[in-house]
Amino acid sequence: MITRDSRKKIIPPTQLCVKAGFVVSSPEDKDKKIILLNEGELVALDPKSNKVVFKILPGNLVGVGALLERESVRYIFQATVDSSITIINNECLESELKSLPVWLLAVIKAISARTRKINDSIRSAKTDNVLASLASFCKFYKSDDFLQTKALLQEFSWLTKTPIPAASEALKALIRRKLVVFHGDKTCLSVPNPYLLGIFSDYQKAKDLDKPWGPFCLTLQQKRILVLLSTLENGTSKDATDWISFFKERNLPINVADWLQIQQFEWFTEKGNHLLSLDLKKINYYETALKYAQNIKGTV
Amino acid sequence: MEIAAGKILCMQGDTPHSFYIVKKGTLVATYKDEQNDIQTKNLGPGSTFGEMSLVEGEPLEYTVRAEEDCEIEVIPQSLFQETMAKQPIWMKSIISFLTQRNRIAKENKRKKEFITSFPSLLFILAKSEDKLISLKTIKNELKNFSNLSSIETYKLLLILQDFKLIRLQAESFTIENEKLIELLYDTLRLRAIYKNTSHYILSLTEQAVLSAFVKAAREKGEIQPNGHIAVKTTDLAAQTKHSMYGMTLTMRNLESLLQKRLLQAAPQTSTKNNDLPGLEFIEKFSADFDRLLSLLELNRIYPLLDKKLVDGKTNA
Repeated sequence: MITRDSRKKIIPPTQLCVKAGFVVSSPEDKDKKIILLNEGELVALDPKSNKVVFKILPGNLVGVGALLERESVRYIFQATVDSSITIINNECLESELKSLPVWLLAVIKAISARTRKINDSIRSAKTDNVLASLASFCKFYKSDDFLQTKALLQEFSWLTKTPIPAASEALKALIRRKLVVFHGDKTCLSVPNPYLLGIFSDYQKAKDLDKPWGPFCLTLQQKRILVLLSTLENGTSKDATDWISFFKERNLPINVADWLQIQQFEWFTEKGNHLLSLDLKKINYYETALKYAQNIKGTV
Repeated sequence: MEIAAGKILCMQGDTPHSFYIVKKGTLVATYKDEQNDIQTKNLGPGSTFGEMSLVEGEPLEYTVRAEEDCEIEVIPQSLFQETMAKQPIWMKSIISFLTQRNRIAKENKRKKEFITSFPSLLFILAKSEDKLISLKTIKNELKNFSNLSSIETYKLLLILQDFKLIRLQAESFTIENEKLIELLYDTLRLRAIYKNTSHYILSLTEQAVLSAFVKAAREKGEIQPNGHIAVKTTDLAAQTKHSMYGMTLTMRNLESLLQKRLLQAAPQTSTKNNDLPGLEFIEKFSADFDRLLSLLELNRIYPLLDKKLVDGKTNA
C-alpha cells in the first residue's frame, strides 16, 4: 500500500483582497487559474451581454475545468463587494499535485476521465451499432413505401443522433446486402422485405454480444425438423414425448438431449398440462433467416 | 492485496468505499444490463476502478473477477479521509468540484437521453401495426434507437398516458389515439429537422374557429357522402359568436383554415387573398371531424410537452 506523503517544494497559492468591481478572471486571460472565494461575492458575467449569469458565494471555486481540463473560460468573474480570494495558478497546482500520493492523483484523473467520457457520450450517437439501428428503423416502413433517401437519413440521424456520414455508410451496407433497394438516381429507396430487416438487426445485436445466433446454429437434422414443423398448423400442441415420437415417425429420430436443445430455439410455447404449442411465427423467423442467410451475413 | 485467478474481487452493485489499482495480472470487469446482456472489459496493470465508490460511496458498475493471479492496491476510505485531512482546503474543494461535475454530467446525460428518446418512442408507436404492445417489446424496440433504461422508458410511457395517447396495463399498453401520435411525431420531426412549425400547429383564432365548428357539428352537423361533417355557415357563425365571447366570423378568420384544407367551403371557393368571396356566398363548411378533434388535441398538448419532458413529472 502506498502511504508516503513526501511533500516536495510547494508553490503556495496567492491570497488577494480585491475591491468591488475588480475583474479577477476573464476569457481573455492567458494564464488559467482556479479562484477560491474566501469572503465577499463574485459574479459570472456573460462577456457578450455583460449580464450576470450566476453568483459565487464564499467557499465556492471557479476555473477547475479550465486549469485541469484545459477548457475555455466562458465568463468574466468580477467582485461585487470587497472580497478575499485565493488564486491557484498552474505552477501552484502542479507543485501541489506532485506532492500528492500517486493513488490520489489517480483518483482525480479517473474522476476527470469519467466526466469527460460522459460528456463525450452526450454528444455522440445514441446507439453503438448504427447498422443494426438503421435496419430497425427501416423495418417500420412498408415494402410499397417509396422513401426519399435524404429525408430518411435526416430522420434517422435526428432520432439516433448518428452523424449523417455514418448513417450513409450504414445505408450503403444495407444496400450491399440487398436489404434496401435504391430507385432512380438513388434519391429514392424502398425496403423490399421489412421483416427481414428486423431479423438482420437481431443478428447484428447477437454478433455485438458475441452470442451464437439461433438460426445460424442449426444442425442439418434441426433444419429438417424446422421444415417439417413449417408444414404444420400454428398452435399444434403435443407433450414432449409425443413431439419426439412425431419426429421419429417421420424419420427424424431425436433423443432427449436433442429435444432440450430444440426447445431453446423457442419454436414451442408452453400451453399448460405439459403441452407444447407450435409457434409458427418463430418457425417463420428461423426459415426466413436461413433463406436469406447470405443477405444477412453480407456475402451476397 | 493478492487475488487468485478466478476469484471475484467485487460485485456489481457493491459499495466497497475503496479505490483499486491493478499492479500485476489481468482482471475482467463484467457489466450486466437490464436485459442481462453482458459487456466485458479487461483491466490490466495500471488500470484503476472504484473512484466514485471511494469518494461518493456510489455502487460499483461492474463485477470484477481475476483472470489470472493478480496483485491489487486497495485504497480504503479511511486512508482517503486521512490523506485529504492533510491537504489544503482548496484541494478538497477541487475534488468535491470534480465529483459534483461528474454528478451534473450524469444527470445531464440522463435528461438528454430521456428527452431525445421521446420522438423515437413516438416513431415506433406511430408505425406499429399492433394496438396492444407489451412493455418488453417496446423496451427492446426502443433499445435500437437509444440507451434509455427500462425505468426511464416507463416514465416516457406515463407521459403519453397523461396525454391520453396510450393506456398502460400491468405488462402492456394499448394505443388509444394512433392518429394523434402520428401528428405529434410529425410536428416534432418538422420542428427538429426542418426548423419549421408544422401547419398542424394552429393560431389561437384558428383554434377558436375549429372549436366552434366542432361544437356546431355536434349539435347540427350533417354527415356528407365522403364521411365529412358539414355545418351551415349561419350555424358556425352563431356558434363562434356564442362560444368565443362575441367573436364575429369573417372570411379572414377562415382563410388559413381553407388554405390548409382543414375546412372546405361549399360551394368551393378560391382561397387566394384577393379572390375571397363574402361569407354570405358560402352555404356551408365541411371537415374530417376525427382529424379536427385530433388537431385540436394536438394543439392542447403540444405547448405542454416540452415542460413535461424536462420536468419528467407525471400524474402517476
